[in-house]
Amino acid sequence: MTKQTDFFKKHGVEHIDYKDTEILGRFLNPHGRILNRRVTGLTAKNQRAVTNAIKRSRFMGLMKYIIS
Amino acid sequence: MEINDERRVYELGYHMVSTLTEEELLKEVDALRGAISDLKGNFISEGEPTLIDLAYTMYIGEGGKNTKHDKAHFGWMKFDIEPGQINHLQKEVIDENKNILRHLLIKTVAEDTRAQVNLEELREVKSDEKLAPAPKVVTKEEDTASKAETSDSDKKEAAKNLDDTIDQLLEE
Repeated sequence: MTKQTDFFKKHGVEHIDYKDTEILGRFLNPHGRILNRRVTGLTAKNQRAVTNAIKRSRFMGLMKYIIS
Repeated sequence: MEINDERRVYELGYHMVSTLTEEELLKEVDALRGAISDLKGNFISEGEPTLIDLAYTMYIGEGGKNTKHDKAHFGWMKFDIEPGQINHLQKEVIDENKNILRHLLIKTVAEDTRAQVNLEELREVKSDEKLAPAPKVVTKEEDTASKAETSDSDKKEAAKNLDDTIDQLLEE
């Protein structure tokens, strides 16, 4: 059996919310760019949901677009 | 295209300008709630507006002049409504409100979407933080050695006590 690498599946998180900035911050690199799926280890579905949530969060000013 | 009349769940996230007083803020949020209720919307859950520091400065143009906003009252409300009413809500209510700095209207589900993950578990240690030393792991050898030490010292103490009592008896 392969090891469970998806953070959300591992923690039983069903929905990915744009307001959960602390969780979403885990999927950014030090410059604030969204990490690749190879790095995050997320399923394709959750990777898309995280990307969407991060973009919503950035738009709402809860997360930065660029971390300098 | 025909719009389905079935009700859908939406979430409205909004930033009210930070210049509003608490009373004004409550009035604005009540007005927003009232507008949604008028459109036959049913509230599911709501997040109270709280003053937050924005991740970046937002600018809104007012009368040919840009105003800067570093803080805003962020709140959200989840409700179900007929999809045909959403356009009206967005154009006639939200866009017309000058006190709404920015908003996000998204389709969602009625269940709580916030992650119930223990945040302590998620907390990453910063490089400048001092870490508390980990508890010392006692190996079996060390454990037996320490036990042997304690038993030796106990024996010595017992012998000393015996000697003292004998001395006392002899003196008597």
